[in-house]
Parts: sequence; C-alpha cells; structure tokens
Amino acid sequence: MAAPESGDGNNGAARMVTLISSDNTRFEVEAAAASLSQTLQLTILDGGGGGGDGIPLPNVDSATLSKVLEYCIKHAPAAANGGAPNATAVDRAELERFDNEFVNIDQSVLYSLIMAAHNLEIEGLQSLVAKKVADMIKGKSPMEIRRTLGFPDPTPEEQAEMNAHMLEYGWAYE
Amino acid sequence: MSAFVISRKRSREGEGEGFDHARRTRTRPSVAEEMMEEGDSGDKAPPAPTLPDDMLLEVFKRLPPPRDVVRCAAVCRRWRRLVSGGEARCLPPPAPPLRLLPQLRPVPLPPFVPAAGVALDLAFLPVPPSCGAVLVDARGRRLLLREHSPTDLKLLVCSPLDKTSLRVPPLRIAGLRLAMCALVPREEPAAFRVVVVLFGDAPNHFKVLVYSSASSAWEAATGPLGRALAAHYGPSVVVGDVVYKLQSEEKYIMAVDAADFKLSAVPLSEVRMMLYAGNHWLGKTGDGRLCFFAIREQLLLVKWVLEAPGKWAEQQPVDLRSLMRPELVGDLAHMKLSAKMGDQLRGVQARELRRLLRGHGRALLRHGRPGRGARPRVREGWRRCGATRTSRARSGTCSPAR
Repeated sequence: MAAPESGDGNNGAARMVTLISSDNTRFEVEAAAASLSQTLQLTILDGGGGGGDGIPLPNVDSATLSKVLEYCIKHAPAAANGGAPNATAVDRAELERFDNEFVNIDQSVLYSLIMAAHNLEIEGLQSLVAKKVADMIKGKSPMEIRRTLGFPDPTPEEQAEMNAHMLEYGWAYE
Repeated sequence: MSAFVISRKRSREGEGEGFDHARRTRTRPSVAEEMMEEGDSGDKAPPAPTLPDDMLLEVFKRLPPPRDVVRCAAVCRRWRRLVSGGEARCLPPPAPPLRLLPQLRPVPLPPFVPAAGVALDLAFLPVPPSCGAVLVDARGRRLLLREHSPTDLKLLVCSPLDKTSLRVPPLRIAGLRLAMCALVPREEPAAFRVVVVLFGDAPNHFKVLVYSSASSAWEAATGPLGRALAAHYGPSVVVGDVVYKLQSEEKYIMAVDAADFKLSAVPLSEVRMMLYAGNHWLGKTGDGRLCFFAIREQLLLVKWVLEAPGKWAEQQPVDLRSLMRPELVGDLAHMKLSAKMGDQLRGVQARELRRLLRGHGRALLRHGRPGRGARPRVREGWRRCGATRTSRARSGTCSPAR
C-alpha cells in the first residue's frame, strides 16, 4: 500500500478515507485533508477509515460535513507545506479570499460549522469561525449581541445584572 | 500535541455547567425566534448560548480588547464567568508591566482594568525597554508614567485604550523633593492636566507646576511653606480641580488646586490609631466629597467624610471580613492576610466602597485651614513658563529654576 506519509508532489494515488455523517452519507476524501482534524488524525494514522468501514461522525450532518470538507480540501496543501515557506503571496491571498467567502453564510450554518470545527478540532476552521463571530459582535452593545446571537430576552434579573455591569464599566459603553 | 490535550480537557470541564444551561435554553429558542420574527431584524438566530466554552473564548480572544470584551461580560452570566473567570487563562493575560519597574508605592488602581482576560498592551510606548518607567498615577483612562532619570522629571501621559502617548516636557528637579505628581482629568475627554509639587527650592518653599494639555506648557507658582516638610509618597484623589494627597506621617492631606495653583493642608480626622503605609487611604464619595479610610484591628474599615472644611464625619464602620468573599478578593485561605491586606483591600475598595459611600451630604469644594503650611497664590515669584513655544522649549530642555 501507499507509504503512510506520501509527502508533497506525489503522483501515485493519495490515500483516501471515508467519513460517514450522522445521516449516513459517505464522504471519501484524501487522508491529508481529513487529517486537518485533530480528532480524525489519530484514527487515520492508526490506519482507520480506509476501505469499506469508514469513520462514523455521529455529531456532524452531511450538509455541515460537506462544508467542512470543502475547507479541509482547500487548506490541505498549505497545511502539508507547513504553511509558509513554499506558499506564494498569491496562494495566501487566494486562501484568504476563500476563507472570507467561506464564512459568508447563514447563521444557522455558521453555528453547525462552529460545533463541527469544535468536535473535529480543526484548528484553522475554529479560528476562522471564531473570527467571524467576533466580527458579528464587535462594536455592539450587550443587548445587540444578545439579539444578534439569538439569546432569549433577558429575565428581569438578568437585565438588572446587565445594567449593574454596564454601570460599573461605563467607559466601555461610551 | 499538548495544546490539544489541554483544549479537550477544558471542554470537558465546561460540560458540567453546560448541561444545565443547555437544558434551560433549549426550551426557549422557539419563543425567542417568534419574537425575532416580530421584531426588528429578520435574521435567523439560532441559539448561540450553547456554544462550547472554548469556542466562546476563541471568539473573545479575537475581539479588540478591552472594550468589546468588557461588553461581552455583560451579555449573560456564563459569558461573564468566561471573560473574568479562571478559565480566561487561555485569553491573553493582562500584560505584565514589562517595561515598568515594579510598583513599590501605593498608587490607585487603574480604573479601567476589568477583572481579567484583557491584554493591556503597552508596547506602543516610546520608552526604551532598558530604561523602563514607573507608573506614577492613573486616572481618567490615562496613565502617568515616569521615565527613569535622576535629575529630571520625565513624564509620559499615555492612554492605553487609544494607544496614544504624549511626552510632557521634562522638568529639572535635581536637589528638589518631589511631593506630588498627579494626573487631573478635565471635563472634555481629550484634555488633562499634570500637577507636580516640589519642595525645597528655597528653604521651606514649594513649587506647584501644572502642565495643561490645552496650552501644552508648564505653568508654575511658588510660595513659602509653614514649616519644613518631608515629601512622602501616598495615595491621591482628584475632586474637580483639586488633587488631595495623603502625607501619612504628617497627619495631613495636601490639597493642590490645579486651577488656582493653591497649596493647602487638610488636617486628618482624629483617627485614634496607628497609621502606617498601607492601612489608610483617600477616596471620594459619589458626589465628590473627600473621604479618608483607615483599617482598625480585626479588619474593621473606618471611614470619614469631609463634610465641611475641618469637619470630618465618621461613618458607620464596615466589617471587611464580610466583604472578603473569594469572588471579590481571591482565595485568602492560603495567604497571610496581614501581609496581603493592602493589596486585597485595594480590590475591595474599588468595587465596594463606592457603593457604600454613595449619597452622603453636601459637596466639598473649599478645604483646609489656611494657616497651616499654606500660602495661597504666589504666582509671580517663580518664573512662569508661558504658553509660547519658545518658553516651552526652554522649559523642555532644562529647568528655568536656577
């Protein structure tokens, strides 16, 4: 079989693994791409996910998983290069453009993406979605943040605590 | 590798409290969504409250500190706990004062540093790391730093929130004793004054120097002191244009009017106890009256409010042990209280005293007994540095004093 680490520029068939979403859809991806997930990496290094069995991911539905894999496939080559050295400015700009586009999505999709990134421990994706949420929050008042993120309306008690906090840190609200 | 182990452990820790929370919120989103549909925005708003702790921390890390992070702390209890709680260790820690020498003197707590988790990056300061600077005062969202120099008083006013700083023209102070150095905020947010009091120019003379951001120049006045005074370090408080500073061993409070260049003394109340550095402080009530605090035995905080010139009113003492809750002052079980008391109480003071002292009596504007150590307004005796650029430049290079 293929060597576990096939390095860059290999022309042989890359090792493939199969991932199974919560709704039983099977996704076949290159091991290198799936290995961006710290959770999957160990399983894959142990030789799992190949052939017929596949790796079940009961926490991730197929829509989310396809989105996650889109990210992984795009970022796998850069990750394999260790990020910087070989990457040209053009490559990096391209990745950045992809990232921006990638998180330009509906909030519900974003949240499933956050949960998936968290469960699968995909570092780059975690910081990408965290950045997106931070951008959504930035410059907003606590009440606006609650609305943006779909918190239920505060109870009177919560409202009082909020007011007390805002009083204490008045400078943060000018 | 180890990083992942840590993050996994963290998320497992969070689950214990997460369950309860998730259960509570899961019943509500339908209501919330209905309200959202009726409300202003048509955004679909899935429940973010159930985001895992470490994802939220990742989000907080990416907010520009400290303003937005502080706002997040107001959003809900869980966010507040994350922002200020022990788990905020993975947020960038408040930057240690890398370039600042250790603070050996009691200075007021900077009022803008929230409990934890906010990076106060002072890298923008134009201070060479090898020289360092000492934090002298902090008020009105600005820091007053003193750069090391044996002969000159080199002050730097910086605003960590805006990441700006301003070097105040240095003053030559060789041979003089620095009795006060304070930052006085003005009504308009962009303006401030720096007030410096020096002793010992001529025998028993004082100098009051005021740098105003409006004129970008020092102005000075001088006058005789009633008797020889030593310059002490001590806490200060600003009420309007007046800076009050504790001169502990002298049993009086020095009052300097930055608008009138007037130096006066406010005698301390009858405290009937030993005062030593760290067991007494100055403060002001919510309506701007001068307060004096001292700690008696058994952690009893006694406070006096200056109701009229020379008239201190003793308030109901507060048993500080009731305030020493871990969430306010940290875990006290493992430390010797006497040694740490000063530090602990500064924390208590900042949060609780303001509330306790709110709403007492009339405002204090006049102060002091004029006879004692005070001579008002001798403006011309010491050469003034006017508002012109040339005089500013002169005062900038060396002292006009000798």
